[in-house]
Amino acid sequence: MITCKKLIYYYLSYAISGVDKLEMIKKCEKYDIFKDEWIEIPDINFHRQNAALAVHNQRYLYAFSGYDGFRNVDTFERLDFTNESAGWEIFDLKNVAKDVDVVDIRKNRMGVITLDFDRMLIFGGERNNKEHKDAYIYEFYENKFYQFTDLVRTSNFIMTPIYYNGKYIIFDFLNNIHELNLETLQFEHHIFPKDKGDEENFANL
Amino acid sequence: MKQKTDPNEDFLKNRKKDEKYVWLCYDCKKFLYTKDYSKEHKRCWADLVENMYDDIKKTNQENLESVQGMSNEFKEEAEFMTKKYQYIEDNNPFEMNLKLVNKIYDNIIELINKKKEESLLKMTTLRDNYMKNLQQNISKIQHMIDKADDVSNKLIEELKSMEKKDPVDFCKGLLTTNVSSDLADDCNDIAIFQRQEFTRIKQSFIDTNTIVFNDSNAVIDQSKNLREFIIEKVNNFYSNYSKYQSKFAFTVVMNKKEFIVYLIDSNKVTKVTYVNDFVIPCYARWVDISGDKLILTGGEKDYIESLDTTYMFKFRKFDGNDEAFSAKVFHKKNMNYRRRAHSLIYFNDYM
Repeated sequence: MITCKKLIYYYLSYAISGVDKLEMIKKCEKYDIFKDEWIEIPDINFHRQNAALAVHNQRYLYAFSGYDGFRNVDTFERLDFTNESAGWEIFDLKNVAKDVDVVDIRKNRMGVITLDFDRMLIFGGERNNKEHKDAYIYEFYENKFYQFTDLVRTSNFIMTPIYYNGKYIIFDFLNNIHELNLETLQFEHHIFPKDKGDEENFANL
Repeated sequence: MKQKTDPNEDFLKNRKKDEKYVWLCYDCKKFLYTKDYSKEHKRCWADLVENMYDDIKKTNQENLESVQGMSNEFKEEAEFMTKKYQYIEDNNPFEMNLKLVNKIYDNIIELINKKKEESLLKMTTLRDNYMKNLQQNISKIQHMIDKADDVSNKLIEELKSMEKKDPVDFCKGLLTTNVSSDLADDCNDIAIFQRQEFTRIKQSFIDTNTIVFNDSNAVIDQSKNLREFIIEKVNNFYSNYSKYQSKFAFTVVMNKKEFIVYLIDSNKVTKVTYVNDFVIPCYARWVDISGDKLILTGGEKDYIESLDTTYMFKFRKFDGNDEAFSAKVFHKKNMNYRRRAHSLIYFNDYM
């Protein structure tokens, strides 16, 4: 009897850091959607609640900033998918931002869009209970951050963006929609029509 | 032979140093003094040499500045591109993309190969079963042929023996060795076989033959239909690719039994309340995984403790109505750790 080789696809979802009870956790794991199983991966070096995640060139998973329970973290880390066991590599923001106070990505709930092979766009987020709308480009080849056109309004994000037909769509924390047109490199903003009391509900999350 | 002197050379050699207004006539291509110009070249186009000199000097200076500026810009861009080139060469993102595209198409080929193997297996099994069945039937019939031949020979012998015996003696012999009776039983067995199993074999041969033939044709038809289907779908997929792209973005709402659909092309937002006991936990995190599915993990359980749950949302659009959607929620394997306010990302098909 012929035995058919089972096809293997990798559809993975990565869960990074977070909080349990009152403890911040560094534990990370990945979910294989086909096998329906969670597999542990190396711990992240710093606690990063609501860190901004992005994949670069199908190889690296980046975790930008986030909140460690006391302050926003001023480092970011990356994990090499081809060598996960090597763990997370740390980058200090002071070394990659021209002026860390001007180019400030020390926030949590930031949005990230991978623009091309060597640029990522990082935007919005929250710091000291204040929402931001500034956006920055991270140039990989220079390992530097640069300022970019701001968002239309201050927002913070927990979802990854969705690509569609020359633009990226991302829901913000209040489910308003931000669209980045890749031709004009400008953000648009669509306000989500809310029911009465929705703002109060969102405010508590 | 006396060489003809150039009038302009001649003019410059004998130029009056005190004459300030020297003109250059474009039409006559000659240098002239003012008075000559006004007298003889009223219709000509001319410029004062002094002005031309200043203008050209200024233009050259401006051009120099402009060219140097552009050159610097080129150098800056070339330096920038060289660094990028070096970065791309060192990190080779195309290599990863090539591997990824290769892997995805390999997956498609593997899928088709799997179906091919299944079809070939089906055909081979049909052939094997058919031949085995035929072989078994031949053996059964052959066994009966052998038995019939054996019984025939024994009957012939018995008849010959009867011819030699007196009927009384023959009947007396029946009391000790009942050969005829045993042969009659054997004949009966053969007759039963002929009436029952042999008829069934004959009928089943016709039936099996037809079934196997049809099943075999069905495998061929299925393969041909698959080929037609794939050709049509593949061509359609590539020529109308935009039709296959998801035109919706889905998200869920914490602390509610709701999901939101953003109809990207029309900039419309639809909110859908689903009939399900599952309420999206606060501080849960979710990620879009394929345009119509979300993975939702963790969240807050009782203000202190976190959840380790994983859910998959499958969204569906109803035909005929652009704004009608439904969602099904599936509980998946729990995470290894409880967490809330974590970060979640989806990454497909790496190596």
